[in-house]
Amino acid sequence: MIIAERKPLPEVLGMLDGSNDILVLGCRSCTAICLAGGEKEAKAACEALALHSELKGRDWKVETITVERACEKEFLTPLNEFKGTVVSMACGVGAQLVQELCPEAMVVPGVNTSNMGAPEGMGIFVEKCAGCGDCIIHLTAGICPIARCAKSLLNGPCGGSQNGLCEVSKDTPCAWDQIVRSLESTGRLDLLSVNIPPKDWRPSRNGGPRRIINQEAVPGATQKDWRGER
Amino acid sequence: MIVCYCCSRSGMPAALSALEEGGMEDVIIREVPCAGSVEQWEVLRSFRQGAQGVLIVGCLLENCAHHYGSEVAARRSAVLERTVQDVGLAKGRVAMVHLAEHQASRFRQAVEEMRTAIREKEVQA
Repeated sequence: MIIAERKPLPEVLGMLDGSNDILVLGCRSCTAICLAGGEKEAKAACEALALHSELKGRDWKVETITVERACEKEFLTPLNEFKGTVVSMACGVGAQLVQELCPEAMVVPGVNTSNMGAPEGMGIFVEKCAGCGDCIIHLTAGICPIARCAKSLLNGPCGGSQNGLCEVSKDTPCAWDQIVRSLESTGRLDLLSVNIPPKDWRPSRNGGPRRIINQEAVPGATQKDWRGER
Repeated sequence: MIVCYCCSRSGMPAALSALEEGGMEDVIIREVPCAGSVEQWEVLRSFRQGAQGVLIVGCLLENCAHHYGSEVAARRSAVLERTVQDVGLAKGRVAMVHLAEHQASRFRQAVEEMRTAIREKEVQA
């Protein structure tokens, strides 16, 4: 899932100058799971903005709605071409879709979108995937060295690996230490001698926004006709 | 006006005893099943509804009826204390009180501290 964290309130308030109608948009998907922008957080942000408005006499009209998934246009219909300011508690994807659907609205990010990861414990979220577009975790014991090694090494561990920890931080396990130990325990150490060619970074962040096309799902001429698409 | 979210196991009996003794006309009690169940938005809405201060009254940390609800509430009240300052309220308007059900005096003391915090700000203003 996408991991995000709430933007500091003063930062959000600073972006709302000149606003009148404010809609706080929560998302029940990823940002709800990482406790940054779900229904509860959106309601809290809404109340905080309304309270600020009342205390400072700003006369803001603040409302909140929460959608199932802000990253799909179909779920954003409740916005109904909103024209005020949207404080998006959804990830960056959701925020951009809102702007696309409501071109006259001003979209303000209520969260900082960080990475793709998973909850490691209650309230702790760790990056797991860098979305590099060329997955090789079958060779690395299911552990992604691109996201989880500070240097994204494909031939680790490096000299900074000490007692299973990365030199970057004592809270960061060395991904390559984990990979080697995991392969050792499952009797697959031979995978370490597989020659991984230089990584193909083209499917990664080098060619602008990436586009994945699933030909099976792309509508044909008749289907487009039925759907009223040209 | 001070709104007190009182845990039904500890805060509520203590608050009721304190109310019986009188002098609590400015206090509004809201019973909750556990201090940990009080959400951020509820506290913020209380301020919008006219509260000058909010107390979250829960069990002693080692004796929470829901094991760690009181601990959750303490962390949440720390976040809320920061939030209300960010939106423009003075310091000390949200506080967490841990007490046992017989500690009405502890409840009174917390209310008095909150009144002092509110008065201080009024004097400054």
